[in-house]
Amino acid sequence: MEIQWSLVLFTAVAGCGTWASVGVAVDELRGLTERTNRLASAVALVLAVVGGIASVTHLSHPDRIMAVLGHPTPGIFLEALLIGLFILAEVVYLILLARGVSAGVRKAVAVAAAVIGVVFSFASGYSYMMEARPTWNTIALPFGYLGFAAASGLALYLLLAALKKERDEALKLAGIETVVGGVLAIASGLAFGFASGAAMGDSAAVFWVSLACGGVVPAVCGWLACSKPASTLALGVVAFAGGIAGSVAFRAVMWMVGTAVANYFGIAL
Amino acid sequence: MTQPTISRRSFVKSAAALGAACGLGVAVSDDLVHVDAAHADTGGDVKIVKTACRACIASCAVLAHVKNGRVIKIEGNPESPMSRGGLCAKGMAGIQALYHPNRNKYPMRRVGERGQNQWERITWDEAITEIATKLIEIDEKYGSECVAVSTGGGGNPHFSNVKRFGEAINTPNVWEPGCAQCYLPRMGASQLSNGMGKPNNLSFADSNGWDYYFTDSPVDSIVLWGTDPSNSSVATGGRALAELRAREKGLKTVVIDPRMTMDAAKADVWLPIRPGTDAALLMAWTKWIIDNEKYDKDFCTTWTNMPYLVNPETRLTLKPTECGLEGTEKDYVVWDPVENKPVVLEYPMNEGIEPPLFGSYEIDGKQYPTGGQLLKESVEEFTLAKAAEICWLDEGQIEKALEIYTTGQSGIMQGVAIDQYEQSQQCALGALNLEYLMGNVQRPGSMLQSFKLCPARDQIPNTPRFMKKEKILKRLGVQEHKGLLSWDMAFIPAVFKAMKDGDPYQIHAWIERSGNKHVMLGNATCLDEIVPNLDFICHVFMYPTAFSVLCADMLLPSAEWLETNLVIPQLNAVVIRQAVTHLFETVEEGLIWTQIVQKMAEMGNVHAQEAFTAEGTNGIPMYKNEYEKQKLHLDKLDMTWEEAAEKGVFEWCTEEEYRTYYVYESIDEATGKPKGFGTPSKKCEVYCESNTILGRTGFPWSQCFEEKALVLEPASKDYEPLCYYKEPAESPLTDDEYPLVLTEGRLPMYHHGTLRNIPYLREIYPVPEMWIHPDDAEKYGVEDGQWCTIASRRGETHGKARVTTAIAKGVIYQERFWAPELLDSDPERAYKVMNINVLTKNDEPYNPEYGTYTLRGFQVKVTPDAAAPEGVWTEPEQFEPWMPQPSDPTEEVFEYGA
Amino acid sequence: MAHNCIVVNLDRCTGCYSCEITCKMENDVALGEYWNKMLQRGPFGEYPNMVRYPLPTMCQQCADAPCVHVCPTGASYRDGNNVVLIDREKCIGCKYCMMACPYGVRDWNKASQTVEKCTLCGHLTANGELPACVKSCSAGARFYGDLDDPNSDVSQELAKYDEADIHELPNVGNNPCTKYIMTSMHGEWMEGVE
Repeated sequence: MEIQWSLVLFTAVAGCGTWASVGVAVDELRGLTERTNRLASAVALVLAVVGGIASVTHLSHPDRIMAVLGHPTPGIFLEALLIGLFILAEVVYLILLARGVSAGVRKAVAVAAAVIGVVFSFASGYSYMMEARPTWNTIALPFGYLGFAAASGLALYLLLAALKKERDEALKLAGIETVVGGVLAIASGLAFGFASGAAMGDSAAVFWVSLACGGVVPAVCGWLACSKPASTLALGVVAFAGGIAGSVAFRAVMWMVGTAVANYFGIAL
Repeated sequence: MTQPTISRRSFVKSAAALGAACGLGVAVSDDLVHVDAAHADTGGDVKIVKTACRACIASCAVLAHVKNGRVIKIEGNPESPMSRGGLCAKGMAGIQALYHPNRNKYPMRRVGERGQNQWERITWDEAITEIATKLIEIDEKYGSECVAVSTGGGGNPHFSNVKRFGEAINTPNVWEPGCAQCYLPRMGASQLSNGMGKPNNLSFADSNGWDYYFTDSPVDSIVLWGTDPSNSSVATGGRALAELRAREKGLKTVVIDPRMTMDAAKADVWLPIRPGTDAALLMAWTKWIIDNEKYDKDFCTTWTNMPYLVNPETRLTLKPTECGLEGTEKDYVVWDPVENKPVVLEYPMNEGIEPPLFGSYEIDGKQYPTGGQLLKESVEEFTLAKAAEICWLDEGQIEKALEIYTTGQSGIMQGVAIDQYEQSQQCALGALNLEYLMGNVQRPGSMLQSFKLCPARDQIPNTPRFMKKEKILKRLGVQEHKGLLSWDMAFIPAVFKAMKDGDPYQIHAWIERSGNKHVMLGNATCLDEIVPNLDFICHVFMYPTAFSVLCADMLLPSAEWLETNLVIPQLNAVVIRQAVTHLFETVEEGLIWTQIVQKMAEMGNVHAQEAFTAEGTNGIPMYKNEYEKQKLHLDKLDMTWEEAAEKGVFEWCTEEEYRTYYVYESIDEATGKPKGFGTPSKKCEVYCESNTILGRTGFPWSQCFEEKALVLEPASKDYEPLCYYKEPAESPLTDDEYPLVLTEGRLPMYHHGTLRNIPYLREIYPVPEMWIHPDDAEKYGVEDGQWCTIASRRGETHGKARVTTAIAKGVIYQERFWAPELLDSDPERAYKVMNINVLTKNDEPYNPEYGTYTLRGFQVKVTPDAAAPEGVWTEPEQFEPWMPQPSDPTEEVFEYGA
Repeated sequence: MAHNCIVVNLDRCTGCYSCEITCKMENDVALGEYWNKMLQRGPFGEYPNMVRYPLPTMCQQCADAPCVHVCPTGASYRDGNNVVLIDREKCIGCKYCMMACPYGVRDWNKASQTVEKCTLCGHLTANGELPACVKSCSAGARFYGDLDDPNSDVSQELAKYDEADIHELPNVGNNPCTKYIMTSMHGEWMEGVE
């Protein structure tokens, strides 16, 4: 079926942002970085907003969007709720940062934002699990959404940390997180690829590219960043570029293999 | 949900651009009509009018919803005894046809060169006067036979009117491309061999097989031979079969068709026959039935001429006078097996004598075979194995089909397929003989019936005896093909020869009423050479076609079915078609004809004057107006038009009164004997000597003013009394250059060449599918969905491949088609681009009896195209310019009359 | 609770496309858009054991309708008679329901930019009439009514046939109400057969 780019961008961009906040939360707990969190949270906020706007461009009648509130069901309502809460949490976090409020409250808010973000990245894939489309109807799909978001978001955090010239120790941690993200993407991606058949079918090429870019590249770059913190900036750029490209490609693959039980009218979405 | 919201955009201004020259236009609006924006839905009540469709010949009863004078909705009328409330896609499209933006709206006269598509609007008075003047001129200068008149089956026609018009203007050269290629052979063979009256034959789509519309009919099985009621008579015949199949006892069916039609899909046996070989299969069936003694011996003995002795010298039944017995020329001779001697037949059968059906008997040293014996001998070689080989069929499946046909009550429906090649009459006679052998005549559950005749009529009979002998003898081509006289029509190839070469005389004018002759005629490109030789061509139709643009000098706008009136007998009911609205200056075709004749009469043409007198016209003078027309159709029905129209659908007798069986056994009061059949022998003529007599004399169809039975010179060869098989002239057995056999068919959403401009129908079926078997597709490199070129010895055209096992191997199927969207830009391609009739044959060999030319069962080759043909619309949205533009009703052009 | 739906008897259906165009005329469905579409299936198999049948498709009025379940605004809903409908005014055009429909029998109305589908001609049935496609079906092959009412047209028609001759489109838990009757007259039902 046709790739719905609005939705691809929504979940890839917003997912990247929400997982950047995981980097922030981890660091809040470890307390290694000094300068990155403000930037990373701001970027995460921007990405969540941009992603949200991208999702709205998918709608023909966004003016009626408030009706969503009147009809709470899983899927779109939950995604909207989560992304809204995430944005709210990030705003609060940034305010806390600016006002220099106590670390305890800040940590709590950062962790809350990260948890919401992680759930969001999962939920944005979970919405597509439906009986009508057997290739989507696997738990590997939301994990894939989560995994690729993790790789791209944590790679982004690595990049931002390098930009902010954090200490080696902090960069190493971010490197390890990126490796974890990459591994999540590889594992969940493979699971989806084989569960849905995307790994073998007509879309196999794009699938394997998504896995290489979105999983392998961040993992390798993260690993290298741990051993050569001096090269982190370059590695961060590559990891992030690969991560976001892979995340977009993974979502595109989902649409490419998303055949319904039947499409009797032959109408393209 | 509210009322269907058809966009109501246009409103015709009465003061539209008189005299402005313009093209006919495929665009939204032509230059003749001003369009107002948004003609608002201003409220008003919805009136439901009972009328009847004429998108095809089935004439299904319809309920038309009318609001503020505009038709806003059509639905089936459940009161109809045949369609039972059903209505097919064609009928449903009635609104889109009625309000089509490109309707012919006013009479138009060509300006500039022929084919340049430049026109000016003229008044009806100008148009009628101009035509009348031309016809009188031609009559006086060259003779009235130099005018040709043609019609066709598509688009609200009225067949007998055209003949009446020809008779009134004194030309014998009336013709239509159906006739010898559609229905006449099946009807003619039935008239000759059983004489049960005109509409009584094996064509289900032409309103026969009436018993099958009643689910209590004891029919067990039906053979659909080259017919697909689900496509050709969707809501009547197709529905009847659906009802029969749905009975507790069901209905077994055999379908003989190269295509796996929707009827074939439901059949117990599908025989995908090679086109053009039906006669071989018919003969094999005949042989199998005789060999296995499955025939109805009693019926064959008493009610067919099988036991009649035949004189090998005359090839006719033996006369008593020819073998030394006492009797007259009207008597017949049978063999008395007990006394071992010939006896003169005492109708219906001599008491105590059971004459043999088969065998040859000696009288005075000469051998006289029975009719049955000659039938048996004629099919001698046709074993099932041989038929399987000729017809590309499986022997076991043929036998299975025969077992179905010969077990319980069966009937054969024979379709147009057999009317479309050289062996038309042979196949029609062959199928009838199967029914006679099985005694499937006027029995409950049989196809052939003689049910009670309706006192009203949809066709006003023509008056062939109005024409003088001198004119009748000038009818082109019928000396050789006398079967055409059954319909009082001329032989098309002879008419075209006269138009093209002036042989035997030049035809100067052509008045044509039908959709698109370029799409319906065999080898249609032959018109290119013919048309320049004609002085005047008038086209009468509801919308412009390729013929209008390429050939016509004058265009007359005829009426859609929603604008016309007719009385239609359907089983024991009458269905009324009544005008629901009237648009622009359209006129029902019958009224156009009478206006021309009235004008000629007014201008002093004596023959035209006589057309309005009872004496001149055998008691049926030409009507002058709608009122007189309605009265002629109501005929013996004791009812005014208003009363009939008010009822819409009503019974004229009960079902029990209507379904009269075994009429041939009922006693004729005049003779005290059974009525029998309408043949000279009053029997079903298995040995159809009437066919031979037709060829020798023209009897029973040759007639003129002076003589009730006008005896003509014999045809160059005898017409054969029995079915025989002849390999098609172009044959896959010998053709290396064109290896594939072509067949055509019917589609449920189109009728003949009509409706190709209806958006919702073109959306369903935008371009013709070319069915090709996967094995052939592989052989010729054709992919599913790919455009292809199909070529024959006459030309080439295109179709979109559908690679499917629903077509026999070695056979290509494509339906007739044209592209109205190309009319303005390239009218020649409009008819050539995807029209199977640029491939078909209209040259020899012809069927001896009717001159049938070959539209199916000839050779083609297929090559894949690199691209789709330019300009042909294939996507639904492309048809948007043709969406309906409803407009308000206008006054009828001519006086009602009462 | 009522389960109103269309039942199609494919032994009767001749594949004439009347239902498709009737629906378009009645509901003013634009060119290129469908609420009701006639498909041709097959031929499958080898001669003489071949299967070919028509398949008219439309909203199947699923008992567990995924479209209603996923709709974020309640635009896809069940009315008082339990009929699955779409409120055009509430549709935001997210097409989630089109993704969730297992059959692709929802239409995207380009003009209104909303999802639409078969309404079972509620504007007609409210007045005691039949849906347009049922009323004018050329072959008398379409039936309308409540599956739960043994006296309804659909129940009466279904009652004439064995279980084995009654089919539904592949059911992935949505439980379509629409049934297709097809006996050995045609051969094997092939929907959902790989």
